[in-house]
Amino acid sequence: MHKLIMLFLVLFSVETLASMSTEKKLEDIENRLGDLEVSQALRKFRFSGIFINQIEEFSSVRRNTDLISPALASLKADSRDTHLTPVMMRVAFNISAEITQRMNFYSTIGMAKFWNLADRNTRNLDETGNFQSLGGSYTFKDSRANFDMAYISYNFANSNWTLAMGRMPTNNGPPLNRVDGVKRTGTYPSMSYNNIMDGVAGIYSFNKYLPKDNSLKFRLFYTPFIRVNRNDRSRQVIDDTASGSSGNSGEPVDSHSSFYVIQSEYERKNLSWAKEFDFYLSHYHIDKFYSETKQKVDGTPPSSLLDRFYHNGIEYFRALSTTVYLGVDNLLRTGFGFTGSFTHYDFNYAGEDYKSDNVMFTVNYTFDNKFNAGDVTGIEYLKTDKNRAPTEETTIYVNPFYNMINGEGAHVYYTKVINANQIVRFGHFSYQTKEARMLLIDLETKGSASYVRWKVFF
Amino acid sequence: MKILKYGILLLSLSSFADTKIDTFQKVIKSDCKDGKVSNLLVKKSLIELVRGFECEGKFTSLIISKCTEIDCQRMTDIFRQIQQAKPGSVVGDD
Repeated sequence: MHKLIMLFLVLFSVETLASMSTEKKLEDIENRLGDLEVSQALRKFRFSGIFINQIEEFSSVRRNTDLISPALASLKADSRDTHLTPVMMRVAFNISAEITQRMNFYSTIGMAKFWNLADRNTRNLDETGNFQSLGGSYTFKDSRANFDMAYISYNFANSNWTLAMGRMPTNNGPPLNRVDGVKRTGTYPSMSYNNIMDGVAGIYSFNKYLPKDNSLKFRLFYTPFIRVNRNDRSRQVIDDTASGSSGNSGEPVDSHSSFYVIQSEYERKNLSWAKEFDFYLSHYHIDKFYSETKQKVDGTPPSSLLDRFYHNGIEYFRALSTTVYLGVDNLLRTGFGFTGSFTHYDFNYAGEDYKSDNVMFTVNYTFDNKFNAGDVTGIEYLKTDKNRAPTEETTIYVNPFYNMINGEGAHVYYTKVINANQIVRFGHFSYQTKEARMLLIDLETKGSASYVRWKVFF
Repeated sequence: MKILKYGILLLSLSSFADTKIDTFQKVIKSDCKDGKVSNLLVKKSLIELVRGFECEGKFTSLIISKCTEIDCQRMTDIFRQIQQAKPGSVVGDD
């Protein structure tokens, strides 16, 4: 009996110790997991990026037209043919942070350059300060990095509003994402404006009032152009081409040009006839924009062609633009997608009014078989008229297809998906342009370019 | 030990990107109309995809077998879109 009681007591103690040991182990595990959760909650940053290397072969045949007379030889464009085979790279490093549950910070630091070449001016048609800002790090200057994106976004509680402020992703918008078979990569339709803008935005979403798979949003942007004296930030820019008042040469330029964008977007997913349908309507208004290189001078114009550049006073540029974008994904589950972009401009430049209408159509096909599943092939067609102003600063090619003025051309491509982190794209551009009086371009050109691009996502 | 290892993996995956996990879960669950797939199954599948097992992974192939709307190409396409997504690329779409 005594032995039985002893045995019972020993067994009971062992069991109690065992359960205490398991409980202690569980508590220990919970504490360690809790440490990890806290560490995770405090870790706010997320990182990703892309790395592109590309070789492009570009040829252009150029011929002067009669737009500019021999007497104005200094204004005639260089009509020598071009042949280039550059190799280039682009790196973009994305850093985002969840500051609070409602506030996020997004940024991209980028660099684009030709291999072993630096100390270049920008690739823009206009080298002035406002235009250099539009191109960000896409200007192929050197290996220095720039912020191409740096903005804060705030979602209000119990509200359909989101506010954003900073340097925003207004470039690389639809349909440019389709060539890589990825989702939308920018805010504005690319035909509207393919540049990086700084400013403030308000976005209103109607989604919670709509049935599932429907989305309706309005986006309002204010992205003013700012001008400050290049050498002294406490002073205005002075326009030296205008006669000044009070005996001073030159005239002060307004430091602020307004630039509004109002964009409405409707998206519908999982239709019976397509995977997705998108309709965007984007409207912008620029007022009192000052372009240093397009000002008026005193004196008698040497030809009627230059009338509009010859009289006193600063000339401010203003513009209204409307872009309609339609996109269809996976029509009738065939793998085909289509987009159409139509852009109309009304603007006043150097005292004259101009209108411009431009179109871009794209067709793409995504393969769906075991040999090349996910690969994308397609074509982009672009037609621009003689009054188009160049609005494209952030694509990565030497050929000027996307900035054609009075031109027409096509881009065909095949994108090979190597895996979730790598694609290789093979493409070919072919285009031709005619003279454009508005910008005094006295050239007819025929150009073509072939390229191979390797892009890594990380 | 297994619980701890799994917990560490899940939290490490979370640090890989909370929004990527959320997006992956949302898309898979939205596409998978036929069968219910648990959050745990989706997360395990994502671990396999991150590790490069593609559709041959045990949990990924389980999702594909449960959901007629999701085949291997769809699964890899969803994963690729998530891998290649750039946060904040459309202003206001957080």
